[in-house]
Amino acid sequence: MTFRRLLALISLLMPVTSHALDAKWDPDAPLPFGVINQRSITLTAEYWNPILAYVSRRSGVPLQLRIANTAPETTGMSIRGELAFVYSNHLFTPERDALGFAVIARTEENAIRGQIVVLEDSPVSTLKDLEGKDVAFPSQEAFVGYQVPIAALDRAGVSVKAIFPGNQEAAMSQLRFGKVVAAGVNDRVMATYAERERIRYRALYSSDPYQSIPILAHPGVPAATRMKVQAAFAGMMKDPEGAKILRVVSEAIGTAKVSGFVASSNGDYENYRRFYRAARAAR
Amino acid sequence: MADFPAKASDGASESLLARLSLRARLLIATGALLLVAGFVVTAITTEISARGMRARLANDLDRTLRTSAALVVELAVLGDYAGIEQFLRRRAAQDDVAVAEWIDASGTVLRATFGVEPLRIRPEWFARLLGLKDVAGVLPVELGGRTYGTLRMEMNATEHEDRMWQIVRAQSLVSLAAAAALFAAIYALLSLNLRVVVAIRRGAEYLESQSEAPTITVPDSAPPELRATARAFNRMGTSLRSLVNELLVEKEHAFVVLNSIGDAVITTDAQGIVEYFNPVAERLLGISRTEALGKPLAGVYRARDERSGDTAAGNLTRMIKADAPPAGFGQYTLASASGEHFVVEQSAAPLRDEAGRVRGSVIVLRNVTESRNIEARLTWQASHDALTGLLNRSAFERRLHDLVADAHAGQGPHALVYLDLDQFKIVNDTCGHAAGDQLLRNLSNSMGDWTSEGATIARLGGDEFGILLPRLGENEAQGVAEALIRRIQGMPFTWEGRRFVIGASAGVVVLSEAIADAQEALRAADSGCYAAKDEGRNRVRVYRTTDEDLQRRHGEMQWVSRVHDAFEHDRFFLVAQPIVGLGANAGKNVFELLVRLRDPDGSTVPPGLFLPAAERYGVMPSLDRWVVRRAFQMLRGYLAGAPQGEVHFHINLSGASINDDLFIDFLRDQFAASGVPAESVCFEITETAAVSNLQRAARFINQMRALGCEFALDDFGSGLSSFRYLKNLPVDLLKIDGAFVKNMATDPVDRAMVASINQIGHVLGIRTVAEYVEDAQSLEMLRALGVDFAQGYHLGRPDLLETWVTPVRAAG
Repeated sequence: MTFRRLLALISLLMPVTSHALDAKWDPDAPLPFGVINQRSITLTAEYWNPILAYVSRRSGVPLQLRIANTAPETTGMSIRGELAFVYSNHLFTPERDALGFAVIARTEENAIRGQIVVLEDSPVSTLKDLEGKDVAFPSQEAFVGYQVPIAALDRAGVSVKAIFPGNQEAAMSQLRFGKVVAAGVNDRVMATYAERERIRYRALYSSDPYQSIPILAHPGVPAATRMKVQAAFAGMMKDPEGAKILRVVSEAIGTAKVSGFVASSNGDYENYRRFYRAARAAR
Repeated sequence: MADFPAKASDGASESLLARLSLRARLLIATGALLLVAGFVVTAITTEISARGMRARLANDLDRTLRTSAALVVELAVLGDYAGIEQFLRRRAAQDDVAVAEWIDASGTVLRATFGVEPLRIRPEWFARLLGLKDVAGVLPVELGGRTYGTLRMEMNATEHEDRMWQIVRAQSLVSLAAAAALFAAIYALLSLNLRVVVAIRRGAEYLESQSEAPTITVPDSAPPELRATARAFNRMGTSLRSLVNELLVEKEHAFVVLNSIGDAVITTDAQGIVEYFNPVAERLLGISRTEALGKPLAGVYRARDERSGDTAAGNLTRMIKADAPPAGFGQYTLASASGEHFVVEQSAAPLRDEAGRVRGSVIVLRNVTESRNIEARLTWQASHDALTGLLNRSAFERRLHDLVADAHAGQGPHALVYLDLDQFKIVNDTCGHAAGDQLLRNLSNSMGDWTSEGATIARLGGDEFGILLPRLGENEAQGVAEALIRRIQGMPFTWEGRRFVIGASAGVVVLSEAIADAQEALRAADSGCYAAKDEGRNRVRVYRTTDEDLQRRHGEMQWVSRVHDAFEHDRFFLVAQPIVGLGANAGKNVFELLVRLRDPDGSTVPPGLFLPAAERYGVMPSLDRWVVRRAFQMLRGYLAGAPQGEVHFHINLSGASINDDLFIDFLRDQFAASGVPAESVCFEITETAAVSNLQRAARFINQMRALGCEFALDDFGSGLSSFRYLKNLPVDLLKIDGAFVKNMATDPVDRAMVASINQIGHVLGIRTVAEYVEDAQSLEMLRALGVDFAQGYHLGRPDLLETWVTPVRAAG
């Protein structure tokens, strides 16, 4: 019996501390690692597969990328307990927060902001101008891409016709090809996308900064495993091999900026939780 | 185009290829070429297309795999197996993909196959020919270093094969259509243009069978090559027909010539079989043409080489077989089938074909039997005397020449006898030439028996014979000659009851170093013979180089050149001696003109020295002519100042001039040219000269006397003459030989001779002249005898005419 099977057996026998969901992955298979849909599935796989392979190797914990067609579906997988780890900022709503996911690391980047952007030559100059217009958002689950911008629009008393293509770059592409007049975006993803696709844009609205997207561990993942994975992510940038992989995958998604991972914890994401509470209260 | 009767061709034994018409050949050849070209082009394009298709199939598979992988990868990342399965089914539903499979990392296989068998248009053999194979390929699907699985696909070549089949079928149909169009065009073009060829063929057949040249007309629309061919054919036809006509004429001509030619003409083939035989050949060989044709030459032409004995036919056959050069001329003795024998002159030449090979021979035979006989006769006649059958002079001289050379080579001694009959002229003149000829024949027949064995006997002249006695010395030769003379004397000749005893004189010379050549030998023997005659006839005189007498005679010959020299330098001159009339003839001015020779030193040569040589060596006719011209010249000058008839000149003529037929004409011309009256001239001829050819002399005298000339018979009584001759010689004067006159004063016999001659003359109406009157006593006697004229030193010595002219005139 492997160690993991033993852990699984123990976890079944022990009463859980909360009503946190059960792990629903094959104990004999690599641990499923979900990634929230920011880009296309293939681009996502190209970015994450090498990183996960590295971390699996370094940590000794085999990880396997899992992704659904859309961000909400991927989030759904998380909620259903199908993912041992997940790279997502969709799990800070009060309900999801209660599921027991724990932040173990995040991308080593500056904080991200939610933005409402238009193309540089767009006649739209204020949020008011968006009244009644088609505005693309990654998904309803997207925090800086939808939750934050839509809250701003609500505050501004502007009602738009929201469109959800499924992920960040899909929403940006709607803007780029003129399907919508504006898009709600993650400012970092937008910058990377604009740089890769050579488009010029301007932001009608930028939110307060929020921490970059975290990697969370399912509460069913043993602490040792969690820590091994955290250590591998955190040490990746310092490890030449890890750094090299990070450089390669950054190129694959079209950004010159190479970012590693740093260890992180739930406390780093308190402003997310506050936003949700405030938004709940506002409704 | 002219329509000529077509001639059926004999195609029964021809091969299939030979029976194919030009159309069929061209169509078959074109069809085969098109077929091969079409096949090759189709094969090449098919192969190229097949390669392209194979590559495209592989590319398609690769591309399909890659595009499929790009689509599948997302489903693989999502783990959407239903999506993958759906995708595979969709892919497999496409025509070209037969099987699509997904094998994931864990080995799970998702498979989709094209359930419906594709509709195959192309036949199975074409697929095998094309060699396209279904292809299969696998492509691992990985992303970001992670392999999600492997995509495997099989692609079906059927679609490509069908497409290729459609292309090939379309190409083939187009090619077939083009070939059919080409065939139709070729057929039409050939049919159109072959009409000219057919016309030319019919024209050729017409030319072959008809006697006139065909004319082919070709429409202007025909190709220029065919029009030019037709024109060339027409020209050829015309010239060929013309040539054939000419050849026919020539053949006819040659046939007529060969049939009418005087020579026998035979031709044979290369095997010696007779092919042609003309009428002369029929006559000569004694075999008809129909019998001869087709037979071997040896069977009809039986002739042998006279020298080698080879058969002519054998030689000819060998010549033909050996391809030897023409045999040229040869003489053969021919035995004709009729049993006759001929001598034929054969000329033969090989007949050659254009390549120069002998294809037969032509033999021309000329019957030379007659000409050969004539030739033999002429050859004999050239060397023999026709009358006696003995060798003639030229043949004798050739043998003599050989014998002299033999003697010079030390092979002697040999001897030459020169024999002259003494009484022959008498027989000839009195009994006629037939008698003379008979005498000569009798003697000739016997002489061979009378001489030694090996002797060569020839008739050298009228009654002169030459005998060559090989291997005999002087004594033996002399013995033979003496025996010969005795035999001749001992063989009397009788003619018409009259009997003649014939004598002969002979000269003998031994051929030695001292005798330079044949001519000298003959002169020497002649000298000997002459000497023998001088010595009294019927004897033999041997010529010896030491013999003074003979030397002298031999020296006479030198005089011949001196006489010629005198002619050349005009050293002859005339002197005159008066003939004095006695009795009733007194007072007549008569002179005998005598010729003299002045030597270069100025001395006068007496006639006794040069006249014998002149007589003996044939100079006398020339000398006589000179004397006559000179005498007439003098006489004309003299007569110019004297009354006609007061002067008479006596001119001596030699026997040779009497016998010269042209001399009478000469005299007539001289009388006419000089104006000298014939009555003033009296010609003197010696009794010997007159008697030696009595008839001729009489004719001469009569003809000259008819002009008015007179004739005197000189030296009468000195020779063999008899009074009987006087009856036959119409002379005016008799000159009594001086030998009788000179001594008549003292010798009563001589006196009686003079008297009787004078008397006979007068009886015959002939005046007489006494010569050699050297004293008054003789003159008185002559006067008393009644002699008409006297001449001699007593009356005047011969002298230049000028010395006599004045006294004569004064006397007159």
